[in-house]
Amino acid sequence: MRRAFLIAAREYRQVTSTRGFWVLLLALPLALGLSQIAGRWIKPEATAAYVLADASGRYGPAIQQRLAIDYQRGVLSDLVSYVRRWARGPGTGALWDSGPRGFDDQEVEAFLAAGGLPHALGQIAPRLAPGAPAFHADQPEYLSAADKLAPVDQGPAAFGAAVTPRIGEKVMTSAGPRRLSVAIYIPKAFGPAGPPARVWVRANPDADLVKVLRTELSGALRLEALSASGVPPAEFARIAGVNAPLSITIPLKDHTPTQLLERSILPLAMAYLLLITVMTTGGMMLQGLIEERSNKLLESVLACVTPSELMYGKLLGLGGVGLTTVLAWVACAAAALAIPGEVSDFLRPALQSAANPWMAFALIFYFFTGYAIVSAIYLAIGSLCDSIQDAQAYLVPVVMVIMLPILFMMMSVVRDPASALPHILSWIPLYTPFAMLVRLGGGISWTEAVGTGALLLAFMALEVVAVGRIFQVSLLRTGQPPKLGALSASIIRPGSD
Amino acid sequence: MNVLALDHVVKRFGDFTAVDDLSFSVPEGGIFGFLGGNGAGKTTSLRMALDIIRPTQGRITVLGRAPGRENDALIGFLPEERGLYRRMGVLDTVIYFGRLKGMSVSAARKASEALIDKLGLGAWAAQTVDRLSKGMSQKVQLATALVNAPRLLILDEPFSGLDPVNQGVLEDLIRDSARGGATVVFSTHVMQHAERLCDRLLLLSRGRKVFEGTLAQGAQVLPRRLSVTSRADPSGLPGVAAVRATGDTKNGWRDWEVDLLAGQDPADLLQACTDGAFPLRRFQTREPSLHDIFLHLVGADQERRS
Repeated sequence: MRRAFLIAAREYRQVTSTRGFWVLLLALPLALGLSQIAGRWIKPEATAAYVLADASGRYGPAIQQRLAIDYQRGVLSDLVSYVRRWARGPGTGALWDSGPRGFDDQEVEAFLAAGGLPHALGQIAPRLAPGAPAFHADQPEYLSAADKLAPVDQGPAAFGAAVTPRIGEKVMTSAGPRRLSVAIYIPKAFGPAGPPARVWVRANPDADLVKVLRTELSGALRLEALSASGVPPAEFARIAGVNAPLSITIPLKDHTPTQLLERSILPLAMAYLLLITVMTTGGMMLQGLIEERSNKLLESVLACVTPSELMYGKLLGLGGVGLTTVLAWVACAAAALAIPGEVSDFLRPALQSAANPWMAFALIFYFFTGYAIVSAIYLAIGSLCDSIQDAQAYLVPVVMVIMLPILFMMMSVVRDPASALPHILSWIPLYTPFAMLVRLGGGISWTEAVGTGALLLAFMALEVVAVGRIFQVSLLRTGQPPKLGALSASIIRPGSD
Repeated sequence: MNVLALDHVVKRFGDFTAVDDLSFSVPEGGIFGFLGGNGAGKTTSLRMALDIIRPTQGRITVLGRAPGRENDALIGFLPEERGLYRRMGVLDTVIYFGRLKGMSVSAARKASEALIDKLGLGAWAAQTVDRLSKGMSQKVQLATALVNAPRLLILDEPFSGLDPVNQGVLEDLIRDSARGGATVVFSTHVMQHAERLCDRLLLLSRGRKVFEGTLAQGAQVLPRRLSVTSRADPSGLPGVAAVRATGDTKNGWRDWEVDLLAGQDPADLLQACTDGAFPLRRFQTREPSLHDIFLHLVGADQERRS
């Protein structure tokens, strides 16, 4: 094995000294870094400014109150999901501890009356699991402009003429400057028989905002109509406040779609990285072996090492390259975690899954078995061919056979986690590492893990023997690559040359 | 002791027999030439000795044991088709092969530096191989064969691709290695190198041995040829196989090329001339070159087989 390690060290140095390797190594950190920058600097503005001019003086406060309540409803719903994911111990019976459901206005008002988000976070803090990220409430979709921006009492035309040039500009709000996206004007004589409320928007009107306006203004007009017909306003308010009771149940607390997604991110990413890494470094190794053949230096090497030692050395060297790549990416992910931002928020729950020792073992096991299986195929092709052109004839069908089912499987899993394809591919050793990585997040039974693992290891052993025999008969051969029949014969009956 | 011995070795590739019942031995010390035309089985035999390929039949002994990686530390090998890792440094390349042959890092480095200096490549030690000329690359390759100070140095067509100056350098290196105690086995189809260097020779034709021995023993196999100047036609003399006149008669004397019968000693012919008062003005024996021996033996073998 000493010679195999010497060959591995040389292969490692050769691959790591190529530009292609560094491009591969830096691709992920660069993507993470750019995402972080993009998250900070290119992130679209979540909050827009609006200006509401109510010449009637009757409707403005209700609309603003509705926008505020709807925003707090969203905060409360997000807080419920956060508590389900990260809080431990018995619940407190508070609204945010009561499970996901559609909160009505009264409940949201009760939440605000109890101190709102700051109070809730203070209650939740002692129950948070270690490593739980901080809760960040989304910004409100709309904030009122601090200034009037246009005259209110000169009619809609004057208001529109004054506000139109300001649409799209940044105006001051309670949260700082925001782009003015909506201007609303409610005329003094607004009513069923009067002039309509007017809305100026920057782009297509926001359906939710239009719905809020329509609901609040229609409600106010109905109230006025009912008052005019003799219904007491208090009675109308009571009837309007009746909500249909609604209970939402998510049966398995540990398998919410969010948690399933979080647990699946890392294995899925590993499957993609495995595919990219093995195809890239396998190509480099193939090129190296073809260079050895075409440079006629294999005979010198084979006078010092056996074909098996050469093969093991190359596999070990490429394994080292894969390990370096993964370690570099893990280091980058760890660095990204330390920098607050979109990327760390995304990575933190995903990396939590690797804290489980079995999950960590499975990730490493399937990554390196997958790496070895595909690398060995590349090695066999390299040992058969004198040029990249020759290699292409083998590579194209082989890459198709490897990649297409894996890509189909990944797409099917994203669409439907219970898809049958990964289950089927788990039992085909060539695809087992990829399929198992894809399925890890959703959980795999012990029997299936042991069964497919045993099959995978047996296949690997047979593959190494077969590639060793191909090496034995092919390395010093010249001319056209052997036909499949002759190749099979030399694998089955070594020494049949 | 023999450093290399083949005993009834056969190597077949499918239906083609590359080496056919080959037996020979190489005693320790000196330079052993492995001669044959293209496809004679030279490279296949050497590859079997190095355990790069295995014989179909027969037994091979290298340094007293079967071919295998255990011999690597004692063997140096320069293949016919040469190449190096293009992006690897000159010194690193030689050290790498030294390490593959079981040398420690420090020993491999020390030997590599000394060899690179000896070959005049000291200034290029840190350069990558792709920056060297072809001649320099071949010197580096030779250094990879010599780095472990081998007891058995196997060179497959070592002179191919070298210019006359570098051929001379390589001949000196081969002599130096032999003087240093190594047994050198080299294959070639260029007879002049073998003639100048080899103590013993093996001639192969189509995978079979046609001769093994010294150059002098080879010369005895070939019918002797003489140049004589005489007044009369020498074709009637005892032991003469054929004569050819090579010039016009001048003052009654004429030049002749005389071929003797196989095994006939030129001294017996001279004695017959003296005893029979056959007038001679010149009697010159021509020593057969290795080229002559090769053509005679290999040509006859090929004629016989066809």
